[in-house]
Amino acid sequence: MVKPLVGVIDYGAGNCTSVRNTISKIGLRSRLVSSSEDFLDITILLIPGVGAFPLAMKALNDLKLVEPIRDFAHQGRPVIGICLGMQLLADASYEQDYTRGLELIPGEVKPLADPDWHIGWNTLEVVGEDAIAENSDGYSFFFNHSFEFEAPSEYVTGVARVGRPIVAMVRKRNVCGFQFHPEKSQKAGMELMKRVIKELIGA
Amino acid sequence: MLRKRLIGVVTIRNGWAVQSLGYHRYLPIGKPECIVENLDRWGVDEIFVQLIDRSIKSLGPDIELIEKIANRGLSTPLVYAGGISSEVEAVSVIRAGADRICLDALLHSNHDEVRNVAYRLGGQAVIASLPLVTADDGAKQWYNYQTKKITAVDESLVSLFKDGAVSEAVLIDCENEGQPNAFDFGLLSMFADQNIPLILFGGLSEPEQLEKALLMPRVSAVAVGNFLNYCEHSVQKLKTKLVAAPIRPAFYCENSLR
Repeated sequence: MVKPLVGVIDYGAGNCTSVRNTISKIGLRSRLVSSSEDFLDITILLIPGVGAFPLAMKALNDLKLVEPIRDFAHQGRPVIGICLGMQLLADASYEQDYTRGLELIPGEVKPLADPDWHIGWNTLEVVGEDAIAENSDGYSFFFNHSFEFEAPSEYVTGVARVGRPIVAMVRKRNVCGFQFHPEKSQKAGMELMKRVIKELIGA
Repeated sequence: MLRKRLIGVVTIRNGWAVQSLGYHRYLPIGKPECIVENLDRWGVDEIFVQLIDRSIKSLGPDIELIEKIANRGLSTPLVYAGGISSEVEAVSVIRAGADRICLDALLHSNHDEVRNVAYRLGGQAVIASLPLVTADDGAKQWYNYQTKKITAVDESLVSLFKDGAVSEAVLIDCENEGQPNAFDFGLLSMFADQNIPLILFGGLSEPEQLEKALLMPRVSAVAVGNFLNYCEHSVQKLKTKLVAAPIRPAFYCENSLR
């Protein structure tokens, strides 16, 4: 049986190497995706983190990847966003300039306030009835961001607390996002990635 | 609950991991990638790799080394410092496998470029390295390791934090670096009026001292260098002694992931 192929979107500033190493460690193949031709045979699409929202969207537009990503998702095929990658799934962001996102999960990305940064290991609280991450409830994951995804509660599947809750996981059917970095969250992150990918591809 | 971090520091000179003593004496330890791999395996919260000769020699960042480290399949966040002088180089470091970058020389030379880096990567990916010393008159000063001159921290530097171009500052006690239990907590007075998340480094080794640091509200992390190389599982052993500190518990096996 051919192993699933994970397409890692390369928008020029993401930590693609780290993500691809994790995919390899969980036994899957990966390919960088920087043009519409690269979508061939992709089983699941992963949008990595690190970078600023407007420049990432500009890069996706310049590479003509926005519509192929939307089409991929609208066909019911699985898409995962990590950190900035999760924020790109939103309708829009207020980072630097107001910028439209991929519009795959309703919500907007706004600056964190008090604290201005959310950096370090924080506990994931799984919320709602989505079972995809229930085994990760209470485990610590690595966060590194200064903007947050404000999504309607029906799409929020996990939060982390800094006094108040911050959206840590979102999901709308086949599209899923992590505000934290599972690829940099050691054993807990690896387990979560493995489980979510398996669940989304229906393996 | 957001935990504070225990960061493992690997100092590299001429391609080799070294023990650095007081910013002027260096003893070789071994291959950087092997030390990084140990820290990853022992469950340290973040790994900080600093190449101390790249800016002085105008070599730029060591992309080959970052790739070599990344290709070991690290699952711990990696901070890279050394030789970054432009936005383009900063992006290349992240693409090679680092998760965040730390700047030192650029903070002395070009704040516009620091802002360009942050504009591209986001301020959360940018850390400021601030080596500090105590002057003859007792005043705390900012040390430029390239010119070996000391100055006060100016408003222009502070504005990088206020503007969100930089997310955290590593306060380095240069004079006590490499000396056990020697960190000068008086250095924090330089930033008493600033709301800047601080990472403390240099002369931090003992559990009581690390706990004291981690219990300070403005301290987001402590960074420990060669003291973590003295024994197997040093990270877990140290963490189990930091009973009162708000950090992630020691990671040994699947049952201790939380």
